[in-house]
Amino acid sequence: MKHLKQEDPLKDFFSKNAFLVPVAPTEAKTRLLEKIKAEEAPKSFWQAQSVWAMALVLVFLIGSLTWHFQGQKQDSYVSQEDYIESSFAEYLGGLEEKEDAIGADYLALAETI
Amino acid sequence: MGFFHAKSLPSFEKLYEEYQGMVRHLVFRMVGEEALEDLVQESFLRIWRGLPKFKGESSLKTWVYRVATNVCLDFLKKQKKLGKELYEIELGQLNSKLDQDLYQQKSLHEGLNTLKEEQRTALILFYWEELSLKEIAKVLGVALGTVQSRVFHGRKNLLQFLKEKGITL
Repeated sequence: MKHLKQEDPLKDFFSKNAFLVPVAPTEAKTRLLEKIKAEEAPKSFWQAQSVWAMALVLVFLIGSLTWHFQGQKQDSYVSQEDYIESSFAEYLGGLEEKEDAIGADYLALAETI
Repeated sequence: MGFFHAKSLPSFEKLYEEYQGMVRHLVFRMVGEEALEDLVQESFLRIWRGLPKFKGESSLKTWVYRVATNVCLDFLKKQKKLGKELYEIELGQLNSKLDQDLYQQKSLHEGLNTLKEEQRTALILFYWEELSLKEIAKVLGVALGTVQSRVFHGRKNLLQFLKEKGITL
């Protein structure tokens, strides 16, 4: 095809009949760079925002986990206290029953004497 | 390619300096003057956005051509959808030698505009941008045989058109 290009009459015809390309305006580059900077700026803003957002989510997670586990701990204290209280009451109730039984035994014994 | 390593503004400026002339030529020849500035800017914006994806599989020049060609083809597709014709060159009465030259120029442009878009693009890249067939294949992302066929048929149709216009080469 290179060979064809060299002998090709169209090749000369194209180069002879090319319109001159208008010169680039001086501000073209500046406009392009401004556009790129404007395009990049929101990105870095949102990148910064996303770091903050991630930090906030992390703090929220840590906070809620801490609150959750503290709540569980308190719940277990409460249930332990309840357990001790109820078993103590049970113990006392048992004592009273025993005292009553002993009292009744004494009374029965006194009647027989 | 040596200077170009990362997506940074200073290296992009270098790239712009090196290729803006080439991109301007291509855009002007593909779509004319009306949308020239916008499409050159759009091409470089796409180049900037696409830099992280450029792996150096083709040469930087070929890649820049590819981006700019796609920008032009997208534009032409939109124009076609809107029912707009390709740019035309207005001529008055043809009297002088200069007018004859203008007639030839106009005929060449008209002839190119009568071709199928893929043939037209292939001829512009081949004759005006002086890319090799292999390079055109890379720019257009098609097989070498496809480019050969497009250049062959485009050339044949264009010669026929010019002949009908009374232009002999």
